[in-house]
Amino acid sequence: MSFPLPPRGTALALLLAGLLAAPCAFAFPPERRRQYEDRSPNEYLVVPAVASLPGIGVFVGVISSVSNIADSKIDAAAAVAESIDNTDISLQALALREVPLWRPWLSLEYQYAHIRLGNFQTFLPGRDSPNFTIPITAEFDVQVVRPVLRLWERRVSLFYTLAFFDGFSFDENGNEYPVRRHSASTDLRLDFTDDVVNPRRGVRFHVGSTLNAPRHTFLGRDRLGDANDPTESDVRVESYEVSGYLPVAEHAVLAADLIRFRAIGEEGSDRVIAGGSPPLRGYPAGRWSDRYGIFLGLEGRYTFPMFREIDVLLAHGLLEGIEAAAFYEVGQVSPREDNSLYRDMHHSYGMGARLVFEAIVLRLDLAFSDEGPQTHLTIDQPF
Amino acid sequence: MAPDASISRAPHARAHRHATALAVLLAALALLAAGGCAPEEDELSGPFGPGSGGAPVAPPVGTVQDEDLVNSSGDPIGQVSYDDGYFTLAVAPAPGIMMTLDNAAYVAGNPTEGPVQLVLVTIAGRPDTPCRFQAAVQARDAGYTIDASGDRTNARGLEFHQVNLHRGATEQRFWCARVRANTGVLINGLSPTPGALSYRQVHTVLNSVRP
Repeated sequence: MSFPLPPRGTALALLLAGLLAAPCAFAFPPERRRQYEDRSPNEYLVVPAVASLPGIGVFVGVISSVSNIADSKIDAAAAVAESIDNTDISLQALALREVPLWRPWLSLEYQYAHIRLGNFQTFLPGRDSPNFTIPITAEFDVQVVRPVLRLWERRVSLFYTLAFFDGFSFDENGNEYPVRRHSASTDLRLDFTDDVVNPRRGVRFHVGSTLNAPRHTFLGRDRLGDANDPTESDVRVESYEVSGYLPVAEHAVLAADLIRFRAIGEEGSDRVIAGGSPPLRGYPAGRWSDRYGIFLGLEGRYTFPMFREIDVLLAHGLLEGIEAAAFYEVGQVSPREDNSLYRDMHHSYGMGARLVFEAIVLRLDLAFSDEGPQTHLTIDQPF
Repeated sequence: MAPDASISRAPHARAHRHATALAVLLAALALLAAGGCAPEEDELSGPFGPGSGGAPVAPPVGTVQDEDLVNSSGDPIGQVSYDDGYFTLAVAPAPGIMMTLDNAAYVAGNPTEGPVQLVLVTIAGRPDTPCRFQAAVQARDAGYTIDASGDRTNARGLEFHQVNLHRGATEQRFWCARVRANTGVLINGLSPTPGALSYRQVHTVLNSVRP
């Protein structure tokens, strides 16, 4: 049985349906509750925390974020963490966002991370991947440069992402080999919601695709000619996402997120080509990956309004509220683009709590699946 | 910035109660966090020992042969020994394979020995990565079930990572060891006879691996 619509058709249908349905529920596009550019200067949060990222590890460290530094509009975030479980991971990361360029609608993001994976546990790609981890040791640097074009009060954003990876990877026998390479992608985001940070109404659309990357940039020069490098391929990955937010009571929001992805190229290869991984919170990150994938998440959010100025040693800003959430998600991957994507779906459910600041959301979720519980302590709403 | 008009400012006391309740929830979730990423427990451990079943290995049936283990450049990194009364050797029988050892006694027509094949492959880096990778591939693509895994040691103190699998009556085991520097050997054992991969003649080979 063939799949009724190709992904591009599905995305367009979703976009059309969203645009048509949106005016029934509220004025479209909804007015912004606030402008992101108007966020208070020097709002910061320093979280000395035990952070749990399923599929990656349990960390102790410091997550810090400051927004609109000295009213320059620049946001920054930094993290220093060491794992405290058997994964033996250390991380030092820095991110600069919203760096203004010569036009107000054009900005730049830069991220740098040095990561050492002493005993990182990963999973084999593929629909029938067993619940059996594969340990990896690696150390690498990653730099990301991302110019962003934002128009119409951030309702339309276009990203070009250039990344440079300098480290080593593994071939199909688990043997190490050095890797130094660029990758590139582009993303178009349409945000017809009432708020960038914590939307309560509206819809969002996201279309992303990997691109051919340059071999030599100011970030570095690719290591060429390594025939063993399985990442040297002509595969292109496309993803489509639509998110909807519907206020169902004064402080309650129902959020939904639908993702489809696919990899194009090397169709005759014996290798499992991964186009992505459904972000099912009840499983470790990357637990399920294959050429095609689908994800649907539903989440109810209830906000306990606070509007309290926090001004202590480790935090400064307006705590708008504390949010409780409950969620249910389904997803599946497949090597084929047919109805196998909808068979034997993986299910995930759970609950969470969030601290909602003006420009940042601190999120703690506890999720369950048939492979056990997973805990997420991280930043930003899941969708 | 104008806050959301639909969110009214709650009375201070009420907000405090909500905050306390959520803080308790947050703390409870944080306590549960430790269980979310609990490491897998290895089930196999300890020395290989002499093995069980199969034929007596001492004195040797044939002649004990020593073979070089080599890295990807062909340079020796260690040695392995086998009794040519039980095993026949094929050196580099296929690209990427260092050598294979086939159970000669079975080939000679003794079905009680159980057919056993050991395929030796050069590996680089940490040994448990290719061992578990190959086992996961067999489970994903060939319908095998992974039964157990863990770290063992041979009679010469060399540490191996071992993964046991089966598909019906067929058993497969992967043993991986770092022999010298960053290189080592993966031994892929396969037999259609349950228990044959624990035979004494197989363990004699495993116990003979040395730098």
